[in-house]
Amino acid sequence: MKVIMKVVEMLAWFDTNGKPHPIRFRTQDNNGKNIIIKLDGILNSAIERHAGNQMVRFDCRVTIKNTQRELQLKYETTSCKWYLSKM
Amino acid sequence: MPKKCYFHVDVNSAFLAWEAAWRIQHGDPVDIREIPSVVGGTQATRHGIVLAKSTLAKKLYKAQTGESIFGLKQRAPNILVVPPRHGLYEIASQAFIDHLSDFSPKVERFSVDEAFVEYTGLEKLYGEPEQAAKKLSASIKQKLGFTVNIGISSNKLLAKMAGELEKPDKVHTIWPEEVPQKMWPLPIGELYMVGRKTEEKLKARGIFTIGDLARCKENMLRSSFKSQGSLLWNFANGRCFDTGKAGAANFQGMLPNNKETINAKGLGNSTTIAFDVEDMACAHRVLLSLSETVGSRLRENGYRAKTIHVSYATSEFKRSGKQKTYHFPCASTTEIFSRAVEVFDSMWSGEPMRQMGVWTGGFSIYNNAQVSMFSKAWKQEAVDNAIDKMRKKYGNHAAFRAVFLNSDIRHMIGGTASLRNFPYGG
Repeated sequence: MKVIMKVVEMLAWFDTNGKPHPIRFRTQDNNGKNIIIKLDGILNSAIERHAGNQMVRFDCRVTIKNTQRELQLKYETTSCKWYLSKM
Repeated sequence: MPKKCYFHVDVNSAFLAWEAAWRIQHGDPVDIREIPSVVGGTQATRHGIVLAKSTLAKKLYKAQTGESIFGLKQRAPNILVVPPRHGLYEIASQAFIDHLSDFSPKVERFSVDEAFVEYTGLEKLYGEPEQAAKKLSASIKQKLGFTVNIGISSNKLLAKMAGELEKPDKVHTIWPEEVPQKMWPLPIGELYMVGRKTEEKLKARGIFTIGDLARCKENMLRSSFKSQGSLLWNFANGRCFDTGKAGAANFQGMLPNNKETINAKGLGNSTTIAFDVEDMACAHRVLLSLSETVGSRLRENGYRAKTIHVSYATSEFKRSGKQKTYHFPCASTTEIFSRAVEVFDSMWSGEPMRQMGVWTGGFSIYNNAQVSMFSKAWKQEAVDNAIDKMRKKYGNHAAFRAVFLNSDIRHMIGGTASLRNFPYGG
């Protein structure tokens, strides 16, 4: 997987413990065209606190053009931003 | 009684390491710790000095903490200069302390990037001190993304000295029996509480290493350095006790962390001003702004202060300072300001100033302090407390004195963790 770290628009739900669960996100491809990627499943999630900055990391499985791939999303709790971290 | 054991945990190139960890977390492919880089302020606001340097910057260009960015740039035009982000450092520092608090119940913050951890009695939980320190160091690296040096010993002074032995990412011990081999060969300047001036004086007396100092007669040192002489002599022999000096460390036991006891010896703020202050009115505004910061910190920590110290540096870097102790302790901004003005007016002769500072000491606990029957400071303190609450809830800019309206001087200067230079918040 390659590091991308790009801010994306995310549709997610939060459970009663405040934990986010991403559903699908919108980003732009190389031509600047909007693409929507739906998550097939979350394989793993963990909290990281590098330099004290808390982010929730999600390892996800997605299907893009009939090909299954894995990607990593991050949710930054202080700024409420979602990042496409690696793909 | 289990054998006393303390860890001194020190973040390697703290500001640079925190910046690097933050950048890597945000997808930066370059680790700024592995290239020649420094963290430094901007020359426009005259904060242009090196705050932290990478190992390569030190090796290749001999970058020194505290030297000017301008001078460094002349030697190394391609060096990467990263602006400081004190808000980030505050968060990273707190995460560091929180992580240590998960490890041991007794943690004492020593500075923004250093802390003492008491390991006494934890052997059954984590094993031998060295192994435990290695585990702690690895967990900090993995979870927080930066490396630390850990010094281990039976007292805090030796633990601190051990932490300074070799960097980065190392664990060292200086047990009392190891003092002659590990500590005595070090140059005298490495000893805690030996500054540049003391180093010069000691060298003039033929004392070049810590061992030389330890082998001296205490009486001889006392005659030249008074009480500081015996303090240093004890330090050189690996014995520590309360330094008794304001602003210096207390090496006896761990400090309890609550508001019923006084942990700090002094509390103050200083600022370098972007222009030279030449008139009295402007100087008073800077003092007021510093008093706001100092006052709010005093109240936050639950102290009142009796002693006030005002210092300044002229545009030629000549430093002056004066202090006065009053009968009644205070914590109100207005009272601190009026005392600071009284001290300042009695010493300033009109030379242009680039740096000013206000420091308070002689603390009493806020709620137990003897207050004056005739002063109306308590009324002012009620206002201050209300403003503190407002500022806590809505930010420091929620309320400020009208004198700072359209002024070049911010209403609370000194202290560095302004969220303005931090990417989030607001």
